[in-house]
Amino acid sequence: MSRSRLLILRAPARAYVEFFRNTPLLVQMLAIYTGLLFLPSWFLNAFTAGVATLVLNYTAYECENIRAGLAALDKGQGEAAASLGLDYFQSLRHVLIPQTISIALPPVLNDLIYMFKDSSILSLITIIELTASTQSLVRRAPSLTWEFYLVGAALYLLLSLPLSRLARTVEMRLKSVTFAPKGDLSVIALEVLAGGAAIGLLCGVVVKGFSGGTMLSQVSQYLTAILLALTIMLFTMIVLGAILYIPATLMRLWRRRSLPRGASGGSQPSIVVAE
Amino acid sequence: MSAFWNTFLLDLPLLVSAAITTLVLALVAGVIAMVIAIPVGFGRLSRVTIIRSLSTTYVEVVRGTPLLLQLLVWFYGVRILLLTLFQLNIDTFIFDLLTSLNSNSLFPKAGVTGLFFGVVGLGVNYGAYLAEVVRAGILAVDHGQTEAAQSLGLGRLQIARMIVLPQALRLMIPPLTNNFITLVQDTAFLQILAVAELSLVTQGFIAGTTNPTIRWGFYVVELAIYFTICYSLSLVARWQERRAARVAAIA
Repeated sequence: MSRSRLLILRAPARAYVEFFRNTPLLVQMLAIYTGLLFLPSWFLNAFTAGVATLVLNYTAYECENIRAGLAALDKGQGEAAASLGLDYFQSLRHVLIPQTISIALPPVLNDLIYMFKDSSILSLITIIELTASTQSLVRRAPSLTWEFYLVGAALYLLLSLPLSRLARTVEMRLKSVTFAPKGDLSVIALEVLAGGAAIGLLCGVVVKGFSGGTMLSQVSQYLTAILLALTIMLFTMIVLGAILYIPATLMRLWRRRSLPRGASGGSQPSIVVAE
Repeated sequence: MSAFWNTFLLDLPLLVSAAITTLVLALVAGVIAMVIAIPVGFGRLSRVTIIRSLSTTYVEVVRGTPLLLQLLVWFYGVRILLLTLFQLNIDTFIFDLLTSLNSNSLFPKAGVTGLFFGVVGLGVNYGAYLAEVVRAGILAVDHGQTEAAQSLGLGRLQIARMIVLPQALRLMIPPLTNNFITLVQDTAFLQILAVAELSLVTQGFIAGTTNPTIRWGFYVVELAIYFTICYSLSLVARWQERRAARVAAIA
């Protein structure tokens, strides 16, 4: 959307991406968690607020990665697809997106590892995750401070080092000359995403204990978080997009009106004469 | 709305000084990070195994753990470590240091440690990220440059300082600016160490009122200040990238 030729589509997308990329994650989280307290508690609690902030923030970063991937594609690709008689959506689906995925995937994976580490800030809004539990153990037994910190850091490393190794492997595989995906790359990407979501849900269920009820509550919590994120995204897009769109449109109108006057005013012919 | 404007105008000087504090913190941490990053970046490419593995360990450990945990380790862990190993109370030490520098009146005694460890922690954290930038910059310098310098009879330190580093620095400027933008955003983390930067100051104002208009007004102002700083920096980064591309196209 941020590459669209239509300003009314481009303005909200740019506004959303730039806003979330240029403000601190921590402040966003506090603003969402403490600023939206008028929302009912099933819709806004510490979990949904934290997850929604991470979703919003990293969606903005991934948007930028995907935009860069699309921009890095050769322009001839789109033209070739058009000359084969594919319409816009067909050429996106069959030609542009598969190539974009292979360009944008390494930075996206890197960002996902950052997100894993940034999940530690959820400890500041009373979510008990690894940092928060380390901190509470340290508070309980101050004489063992270093031991607990070492264990906490080691757990983070244990989780993030294999992930970054995996990301590097994927990157090498994508870069290698002999790389030939089995099947459609965009379908594979969707499958991987669905698998990741399933693993995440499974971990949540394992921690809380197996039963139909916890499964259902986990799923509903995640869905609520995503719904909250989408609501806020829509809101920022409308508000900030309007702030960006209205002056830009006014400027364009003003320019369009002043252009012919400028042309008849004589500044342009004088340049032509000078040439 | 007028209630918000009254409070806002009253607190504006504090907000502005907090924003300046944020910028200063980011600058100091950035300088520390650069001082760490250049030797570590060279160290990761060193031929000596110990230097290479030490710097690789530093980079991997720091990049593999969250900044929040690192700040907690600096603030709570290192304090206890210094106390047990050297019987050194870091609070009074830093306070005495600032007293001898004649500037302790600027900070309350408890806040100084948070400030000190916060800046050091941020610097060490970004040192690892910048070391990767430095490494990439060094690798991007053509190897023929090193060979030419060797044929001129320069020593290895001389080559690093006079030939490789100046060229690498020019390549590194856009990613360094991008890292500085995230550094400015990450100074918000220092609020957990009670450093009075923009985020904590605004949080204090917000905690002082229940009026939703005032609360949201402060959030909007805070986010707008961060956005202004970071967006103008990212415009600078984009301009530099375009200029670098132009230079590359000419060369």
